[in-house]
Amino acid sequence: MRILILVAFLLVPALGLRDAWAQGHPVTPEAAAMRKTCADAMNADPTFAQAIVETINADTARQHRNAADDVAKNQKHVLGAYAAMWVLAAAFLIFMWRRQQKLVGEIAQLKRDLEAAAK
Amino acid sequence: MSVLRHAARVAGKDLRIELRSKEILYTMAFFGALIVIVYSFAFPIKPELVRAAVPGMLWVAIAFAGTIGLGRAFDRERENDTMRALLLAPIPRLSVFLGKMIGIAVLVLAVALVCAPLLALLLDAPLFADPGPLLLVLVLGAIGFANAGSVFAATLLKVRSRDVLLPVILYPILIPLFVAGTSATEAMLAVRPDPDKLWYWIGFLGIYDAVFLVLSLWVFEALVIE
Amino acid sequence: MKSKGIPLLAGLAAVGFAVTVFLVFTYAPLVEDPVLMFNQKIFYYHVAHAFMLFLATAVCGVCSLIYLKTRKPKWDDLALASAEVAALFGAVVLATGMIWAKAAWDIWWTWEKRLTMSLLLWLVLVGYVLVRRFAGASADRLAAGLAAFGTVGIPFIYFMVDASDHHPKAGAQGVAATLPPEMKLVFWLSVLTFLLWCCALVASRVQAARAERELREIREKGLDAGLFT
Repeated sequence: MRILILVAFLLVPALGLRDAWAQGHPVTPEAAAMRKTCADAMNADPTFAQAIVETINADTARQHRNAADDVAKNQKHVLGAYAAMWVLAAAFLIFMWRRQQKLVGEIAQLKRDLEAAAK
Repeated sequence: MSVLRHAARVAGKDLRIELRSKEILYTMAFFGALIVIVYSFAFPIKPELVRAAVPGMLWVAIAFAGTIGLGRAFDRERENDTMRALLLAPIPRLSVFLGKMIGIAVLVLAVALVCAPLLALLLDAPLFADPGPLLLVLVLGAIGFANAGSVFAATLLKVRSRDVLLPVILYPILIPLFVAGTSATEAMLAVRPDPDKLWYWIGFLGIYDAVFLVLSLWVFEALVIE
Repeated sequence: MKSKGIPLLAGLAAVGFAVTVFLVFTYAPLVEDPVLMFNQKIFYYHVAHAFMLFLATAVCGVCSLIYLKTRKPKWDDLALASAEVAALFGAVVLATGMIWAKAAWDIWWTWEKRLTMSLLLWLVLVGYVLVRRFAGASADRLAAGLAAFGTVGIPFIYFMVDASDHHPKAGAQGVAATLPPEMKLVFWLSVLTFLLWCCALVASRVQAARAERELREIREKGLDAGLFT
């Protein structure tokens, strides 16, 4: 039964689209008749409407819960901030280390120059 | 008092040189006018935006033109190494600094007095509705700019990349000055002028000038002597 | 600073950091603010870095003034070292501040008072580093002058930022100053940690600056004596 309704649901807009495409105006008498059939079928089965409402409510509730959880456990920003801190500190250390290497090189050069001068 | 007399003499010398050639004055004023005109095209000028945009235009024009004039004024002392002669002259070095500072301040003020009427004319900004406070703000701004400007331009005299380093050094320390000048002008131009705000910023500028003048007097000698 | 001092400071800072991280995530409570919640943990490092930024800048300014008056190179070394470390801390303050703004107000940059102040101060420090790098022989004097002017300008920046309502402000005034005691403890512990870290960096940078200067002097002496060509 439900599958039939679903198929009908899908058919209505498809038909409507086809008609709109062919004639330039959206709703045709056949489509209206189909829609009425669908609505009747839906109203004939009250549990179906109930099921839709329940699904939607559960969905909304889950979304709210997820959003709250996201905020409470959102680690993206905290991790980002910590990473930024560490990256900048590391960049500074690399900068200092390179300076140190340059100094080491300069001392070696000085030694060589001194030895050359002593000869 | 002799310090001030000597300072007046140094400033008089600078201004006399300038009045004979008028090189800096004309080029700075023209440059300031150009900036104002470029701004008039660069920003969407609607009557309701003018009051908010003009203060910023005025002060940015002063900052840019002032930097150019500053560089040129000290280049003049570099060409024949006359800065050394000036520093060796038998007058207090404070007088040298004060004299230079006054000379620059007069130039900056002259540029401001070209830009402000031009802005009032081209953009129909009511800048001269109350000329007294405006003049006060411009004088205080020119003194503050000339103060930090002469200290660093004099120190940069021997540095190769002085043209790029001057704004790099000057603008960060002058941001409070420019913001104060802009806010004061804004308070003047507002649809309902806000005298409390205006006088707060004038006081701010006054204290700023006084504090940095003392600091400059204190460090100028140490900065320029090698 | 003896050469043992720096590893000691750095080691203490590392231990302090480990302890602080542990306490930040386990001991310190979550704030009640519905938007911040977990993101408030950025605060412990952001603000500690900001403190160090202002401290290092003040040290740099004072040392620069002393250097200008006495011309003793050790003050210049200290000023240079603290300026560079301050520039590092300033960069961290701005980066974490931007992430904080994103978390709290969903916007990357806001002209919030303290963030604006940090930015303006950081500009002075970047200028200082540039001058050091490109001003040649008179770099030390110029940089010292810049540091002196910049440090004296801090109160002006404060009053300027405080008074100008020039920029639209997004959101509230950050975190309330009234922290619960657990947070306060963790916060001050983190300040202490970064103080140690800051000292270790400055000390090691001072050593490098001194070594550099001495090497330069030796070379000049050698050149004067005709040892090198």
